[in-house]
Amino acid sequence: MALFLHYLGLPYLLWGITLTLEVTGLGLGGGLLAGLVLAAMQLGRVRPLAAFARAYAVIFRGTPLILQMVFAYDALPHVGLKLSAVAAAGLALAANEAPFIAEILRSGVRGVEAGQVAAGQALGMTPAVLMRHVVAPQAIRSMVPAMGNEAVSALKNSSLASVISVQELTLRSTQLASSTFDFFSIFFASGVVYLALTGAATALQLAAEALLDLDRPAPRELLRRLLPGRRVALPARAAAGPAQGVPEPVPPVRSRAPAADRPPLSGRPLAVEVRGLHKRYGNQIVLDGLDLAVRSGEVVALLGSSGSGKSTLLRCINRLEMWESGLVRVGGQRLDSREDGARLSARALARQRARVGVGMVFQQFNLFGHLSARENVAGPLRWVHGVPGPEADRRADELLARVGLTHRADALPRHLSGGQQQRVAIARALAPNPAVLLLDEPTSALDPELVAEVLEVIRQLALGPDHDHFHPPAPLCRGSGGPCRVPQRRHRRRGRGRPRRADPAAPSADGALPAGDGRRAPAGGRDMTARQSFSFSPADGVPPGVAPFSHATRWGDLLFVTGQMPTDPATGALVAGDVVAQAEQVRCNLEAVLARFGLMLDDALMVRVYLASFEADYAAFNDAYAGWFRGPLPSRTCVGVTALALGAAVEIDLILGIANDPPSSNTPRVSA
Amino acid sequence: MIAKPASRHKAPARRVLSAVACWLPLLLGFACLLAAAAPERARAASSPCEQLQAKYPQFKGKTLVDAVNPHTPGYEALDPNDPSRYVGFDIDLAEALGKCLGFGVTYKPVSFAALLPTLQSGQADLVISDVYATSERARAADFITYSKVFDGVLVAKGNPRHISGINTSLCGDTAAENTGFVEVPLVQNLSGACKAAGKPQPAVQLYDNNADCIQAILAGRADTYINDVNTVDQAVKAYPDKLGKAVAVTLPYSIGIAVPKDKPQLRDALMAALVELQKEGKETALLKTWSLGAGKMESPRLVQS
Repeated sequence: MALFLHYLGLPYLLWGITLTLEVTGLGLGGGLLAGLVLAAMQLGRVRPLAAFARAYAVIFRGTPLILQMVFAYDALPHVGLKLSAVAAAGLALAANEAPFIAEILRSGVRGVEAGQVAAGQALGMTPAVLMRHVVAPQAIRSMVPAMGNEAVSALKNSSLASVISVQELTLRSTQLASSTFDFFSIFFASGVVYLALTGAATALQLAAEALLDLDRPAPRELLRRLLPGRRVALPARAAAGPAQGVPEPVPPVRSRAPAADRPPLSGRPLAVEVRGLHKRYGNQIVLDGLDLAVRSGEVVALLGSSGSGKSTLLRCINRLEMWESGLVRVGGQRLDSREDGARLSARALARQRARVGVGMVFQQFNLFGHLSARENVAGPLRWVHGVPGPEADRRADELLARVGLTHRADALPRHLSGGQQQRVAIARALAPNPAVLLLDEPTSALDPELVAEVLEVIRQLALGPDHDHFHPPAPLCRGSGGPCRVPQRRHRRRGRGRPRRADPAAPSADGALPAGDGRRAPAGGRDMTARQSFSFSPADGVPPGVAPFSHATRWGDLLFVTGQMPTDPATGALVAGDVVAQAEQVRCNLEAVLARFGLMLDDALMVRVYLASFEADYAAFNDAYAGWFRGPLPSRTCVGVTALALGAAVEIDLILGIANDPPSSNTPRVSA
Repeated sequence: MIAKPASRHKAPARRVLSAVACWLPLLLGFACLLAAAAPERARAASSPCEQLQAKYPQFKGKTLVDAVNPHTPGYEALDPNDPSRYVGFDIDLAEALGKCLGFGVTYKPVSFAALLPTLQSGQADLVISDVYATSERARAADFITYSKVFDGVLVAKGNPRHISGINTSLCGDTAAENTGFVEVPLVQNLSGACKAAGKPQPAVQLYDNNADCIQAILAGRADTYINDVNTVDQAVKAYPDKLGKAVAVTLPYSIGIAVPKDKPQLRDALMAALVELQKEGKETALLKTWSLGAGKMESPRLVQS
């Protein structure tokens, strides 16, 4: 024991620690640098570089470190590279650690949800901004335990430097044992020193984990602040308290023309223009020559069966997906390439997205998991749009107040309910004042009881009473199977001059437009939350032999209906033989549905139909729908019948704009 | 081999002439190797070592790296009292050679098997580490011999296996040896003799240093460790209750200083300096200091291949 303590305190042995740490430091530092390069090569798209990195990993991960040490020390001098023993040991250790660290980095980066990356791209983040503010902060957190492993492993592996004459702890121990014959005392002492060193490495790892823990109480912000992507909360706004559902006007980031000066819908510029869009995944054709035109201020809902390409269309519109042929313009600008046809770099694409202003809300929310609700909104404003910090925070707080989440501004996404998360996501998408807002099944991942809150937010944002202050973007909503969820008043405002009878079941029509463009001025009193929803079964007054629409929801003026055309269960083919018969079935169904809401088909102002995989004559189908409306207004027709995909199940969904203007209203004409 | 300094008895006037006469052959001898500077230095030299320094000025003031396997107390090991330095016969010999030729020495500790690769890669300038100068090793480096080889047979106390040398008494036994030791093939070559005698073959366990080999016997993993007799004696001294020396054997080898094949100047300079040290009796004194036995000294000769 006395001998053990003697050797434990022997300066000669303890000095070995410095060399041990030196080799370990060189190995870890060099390994980290080389690992970063290797990981970047493998994550990148240049195949030869990825192949090189893979080959490197195979060689250096597949050969013993001791051979690499001897190689660096004894073989490199033959080619004129004579390193000192410590440098050679550090080089070998770094070369050996690099592939392991590269794998840790790679798995860390890949571990960040793809959805968050897509959300960052949709917000217009360049790859560098995305890496710095979204991927790296989360990847680093997940990599700490594995890095701790690597540090301990490197520390122990540094003992192999003893074979190439580095006077580190192990070499000193063995030499001392040879000269004194106190074999065990010395090796126990050396072992204790190694334990202390690895213990310190473990303690560092645990400390780093604790400091980076997002759930840690606020005062321990030090290291977190050193990491990119998280800022200290502003105390001022958070105190506002829960102001659920009391939206306030939010001044836009970019100044826009006041509503009164904006031209009527039909005269407005195209927000989204899709022409002849072809998109395929492998052999599967998803979009086959799709055309779509959405004007600024318009709300369009896409409906179709699962797999019919609704999401793909949205992802094409902001170019999260590339397509085979066709043209997509957002705000008159192309995102797939420059106007001269040259390919856009990822960076240029991000800039273009930010400039054009395409907001997107995802089914899975895709909030940045390491950022508070406020930062989720304010961060992209700062990083992408260069909004100064305080202003970004102010806007974030205002938007959060608007979606009723002031009291949760400092909460992490994981501490928010699904509905709250989606409301934050909507606030985030709206923050830069996008020209187009894409809502990709914004409520389908939510529990039924949470759907309403999100719909309410969407509704208020789109139809809010403060048009003069807050310009609603043109949302494109997609829903699958369920009722479509975007109400839109403006559609209806396309100015059918005919007074319509009031609908007893619906809330009274809302505030009037501003006088300037002939609309009624805001009058208040509209019950935005009024909603009626029915499910239907064959017993619901549907004529025999006709399959009913399965679900219908009414939001104020809008009625959303979804259902499938009857098909033969044996063959999967449509029961009805021809297009006209099918349209007739749809009409029967529709009338049954409308009856439940106390409405008639003639109340429908506009019908928009999307067909998934309808391999029939679209024009004939359109004509058949048009035939429903026998009134004097030819424009009251089906405005769109679009094939989304071939090969998916046949399905017809409808959106109806129900006219329920009070008869006394002054027949505003916006123009048609 | 070199002309002596001028006689003290001669008058100053003639001393110059005499000196010129004495130095002339030297100058002629050096002429092919050294150019103009040599005579000036040579004139100032008085001792043989100073003359060597004049002859090989490229080493003067330099620090040469000596690769050692410092696990051999008596030859090279850490000083137990001051582990920051190495001590032993080989260390003192290197210092004496350095002093004679005017260079300093630093030591690079490597495993035994790595001694010659370290020299070949240029990471060391010379190896003085109890290396037996065999013709196989001479393919990797030039050797200047400085000592005869006497091996000792280290066994557990009382020699329970009755080992009597590198002979058929080793049949069926296990010998611990360091990787690269000349004893390894000697033991392995006993297989034929053992087979002929109807006995099992001897086994060899390979380790990296003396301490490991000694531990192998102490742990009962090996029956014997055959190495330089001094190393064996040191081990017995350290573990008098557990270890014993069975016998000493003579091997047909010499211990040598290894120098790179591409540095003939260094080889020649070291050889000349070693000759001088032996002539002055310094090597004998060192052998005595480290209790290695004065009889081990051997006149330097080159082992090359």
